[in-house]
Amino acid sequence: MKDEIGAKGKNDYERLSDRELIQMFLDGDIMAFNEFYRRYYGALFKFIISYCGDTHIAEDTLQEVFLKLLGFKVRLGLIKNIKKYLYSIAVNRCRDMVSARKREMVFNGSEREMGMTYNTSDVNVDIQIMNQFVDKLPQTQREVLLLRTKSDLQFSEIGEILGISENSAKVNYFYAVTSLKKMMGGEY
Amino acid sequence: MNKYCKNIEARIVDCLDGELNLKERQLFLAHINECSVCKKKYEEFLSAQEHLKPFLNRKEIVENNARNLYSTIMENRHKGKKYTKLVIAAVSLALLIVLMSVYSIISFDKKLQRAREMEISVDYFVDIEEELINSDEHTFKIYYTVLYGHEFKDFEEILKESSIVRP
Repeated sequence: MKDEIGAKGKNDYERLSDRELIQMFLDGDIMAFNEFYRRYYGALFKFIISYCGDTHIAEDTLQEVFLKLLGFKVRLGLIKNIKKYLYSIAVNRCRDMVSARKREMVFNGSEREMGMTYNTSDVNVDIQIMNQFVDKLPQTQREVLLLRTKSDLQFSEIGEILGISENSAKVNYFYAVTSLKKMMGGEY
Repeated sequence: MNKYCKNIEARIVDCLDGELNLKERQLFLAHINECSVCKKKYEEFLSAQEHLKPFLNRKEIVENNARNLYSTIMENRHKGKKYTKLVIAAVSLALLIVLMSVYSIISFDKKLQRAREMEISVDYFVDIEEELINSDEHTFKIYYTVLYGHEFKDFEEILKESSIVRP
């Protein structure tokens, strides 16, 4: 089995489903996990960095998300929808991080607004302003917007990740987009 | 406002995403032309989406950072397992302690039950193990019977069999 897998080329891995890749990884094929990582790191990273607003924190969080997934190695084979599972870990981790940051701000008596501080040097100023508006959206609207725009997920997938219906995900997206426009007013 | 208006936000998103089939699309557009409230929402969303296009379609250039994390993740993936073993050991120990406590409670309960059957005061019985050491011969026999479930025997024999050391 292992030799047979070892003989696979890059294209062979690309054709496999998430479950097949994870099963091969559980059977000892590291390259299968490499392909799984390649499939999701970009979209996940975009989502996380938009959520937390800091490149370094986003890198740490992305690492934690994948390490947590690997930590469930025994159960990985039983998970039906790995993608949903991966994003659920990411969303929960981001929520924890934002809550911790807000608590820290309150504890330190910061007079700043609760929004994130964006220190990504490689993101332009317009985007930073936009991100600050996104932070002001209600949590579900913000999460739906970011999952949709940064990770290109279907509304049905977003619904599953956030524990809401597909319809509710669409409605939240509608109000997120229209609220953003209203908030921006004359900014753009 | 009719039934169709109730879910108009989701339908607007579907329409602009190209998710509606021809029939659904015709129905949607016919409704939009008839209902001013829904038409306003449609135009509002359309305008917002156009306005936010640069943001919504933005492609980050920071992906490289994430690409390079793979090797770090693979290096660190076994680190947590040390802690897992420790946690399993701690949980097993805790479980053992709980089981031992439950066993001692159950056996003590049996002793208490025997004491009740023999009409000995429960309060008095609580410290029976300590009392045994300094009790007189008669009380000792009663307590001993209660504790160990034996019939009355010769006191000296009981003392020999008993693990209790009397002063």
